[in-house]
Amino acid sequence: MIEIKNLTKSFHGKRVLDIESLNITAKGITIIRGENGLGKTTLLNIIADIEGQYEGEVIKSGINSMDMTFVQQKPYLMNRSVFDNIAYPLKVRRWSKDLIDKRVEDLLTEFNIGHLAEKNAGRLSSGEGQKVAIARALSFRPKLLLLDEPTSNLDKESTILTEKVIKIYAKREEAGVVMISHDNEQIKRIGGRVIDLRVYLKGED
Amino acid sequence: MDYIVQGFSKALSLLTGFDRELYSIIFLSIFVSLTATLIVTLVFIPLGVGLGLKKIRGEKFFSRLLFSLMGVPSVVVGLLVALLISRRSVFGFLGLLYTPGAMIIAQTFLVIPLGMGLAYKLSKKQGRRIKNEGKLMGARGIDLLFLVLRELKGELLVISLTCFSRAITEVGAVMIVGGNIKGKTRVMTTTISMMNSMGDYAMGIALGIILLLITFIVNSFAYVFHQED
Repeated sequence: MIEIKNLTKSFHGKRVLDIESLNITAKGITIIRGENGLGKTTLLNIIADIEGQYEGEVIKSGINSMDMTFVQQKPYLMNRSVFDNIAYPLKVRRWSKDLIDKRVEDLLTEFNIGHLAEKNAGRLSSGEGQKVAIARALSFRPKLLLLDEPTSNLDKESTILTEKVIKIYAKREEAGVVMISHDNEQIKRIGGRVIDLRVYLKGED
Repeated sequence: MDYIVQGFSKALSLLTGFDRELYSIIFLSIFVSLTATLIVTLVFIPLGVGLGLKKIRGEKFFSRLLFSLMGVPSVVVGLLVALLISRRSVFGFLGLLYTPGAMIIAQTFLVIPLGMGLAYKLSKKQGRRIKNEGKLMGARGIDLLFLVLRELKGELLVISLTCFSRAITEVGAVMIVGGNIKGKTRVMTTTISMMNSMGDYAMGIALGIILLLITFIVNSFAYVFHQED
C-alpha cells in the first residue's frame, strides 16, 4: 500500500501539488488520470524517490527502493546496446550471466524487439526506446512499477502489445503497477483502479 | 624575409635530423603536461562529476568560483606555486623548485579549475539525469558513479584533452617554477620565448611547428569524440 498524507510540492514558490490523503494499492494496476499540469508526473517522481524536496508523508509499506522502478515519459537509455540496457538492472543486482541472458532474451521476445538486441539504444526511435525502457524496468521483476504515459510514442499495435505485457506482468508477479494515462480507450482496455487526481487535490472541485 | 626562410629551412633540418636537444625538449614538454593532465583526469575530473551529482549548499557560488579560477593567468599560478616550494617556504625542504616536478605541480594547479569546472557543469546538466535513471535501475554507490562516468566518457575525454591543450601551450607557470634550465627544465614554450628574444629562430620555428601539430592532433581527437558522442 502507498499512503500519501498532506503532500505538498512547490517549484519556485508556486504550489504544484497539494494532496490531503490518497491511498494506492501496491497490487494490481492503478491508472492515474487528469488534465495536464495537475501534478501527475510530480506525484510519480515523489513516489519513485527522485523528487527530493517536498512536504508531507509518502509511505510505501513493504516496498524498498530496490523493489521498484519508474519509466519516465522520456526515459534515458544508456549509450550501449539494447541487450545491455535491459541487462543492466540485473547486473547491478549481481545476477549470474546465464540468468541474465535468459531473462533478457525472454523480454526481447515478449516485446517483439529481438531484432534490436545489438543496436545502440541511442539510435532507436522514440517508440522503440519506450519499449526498451519498459522491458528494462520489468527485467528485475519489481514489486512496484511506475509508468508515466508508457505508450505515448507507440503505434496502435505496439500499444496493445505493451498493455498486454503489463497486465500479464501485474497478474503473474502479483506486482503493483501505477501508470499515468490520458487515453480513455486504454483505460477501458487495461481495467484496474482509476484515480482521477483532480478529486484528491485540495482546492479543486 | 630571408631570416624567416632560413629559420624554416634550419628548423626542418633539426626536425628531420632528430636533433637531440630539440627532441629532449619535446619529450619533456609532453611528459610534464601529460602527467599534469593525468592527475587532473584521474582525480579532479571525477571529483567534479561527483560534486555535480549532489545538490550542495552554495552551488551557484561554487560554480562561479570554479569558472573564475579557470581564467587565472598562468604566471599567477606559477608565482603561487613558486612561493610554496621556494627554499625558504613551507615545502622548501622538498627541493622541488626548478625541477620537472615543480612544473607538473604548477600545470596541475593551472588545469584543475578547467577540468573540475567543466566536469562539474557537465555532471550538473546531464549527470543528474543519468544518476536518477541509474537509481531507478537499482544502481547504488560505486555502480552509480561508474555508470555516470561511463555514460559521459566522450565528453569527459574532450575535457581531458582540453586540459592537455591548456597545459602544453602555457608558458608563464613553467617559466617561473622551472626556470628554463637547459637540459633540465626547458620545454617547448619557454624555449620558443627564449629563442625569439635571442633572435635564433630555427629552434623556435621547429618547436612552434611541433606545438601546432600537437595542438591540432589533440583538438582533432576532441572534435571526433565530441561528434561521435
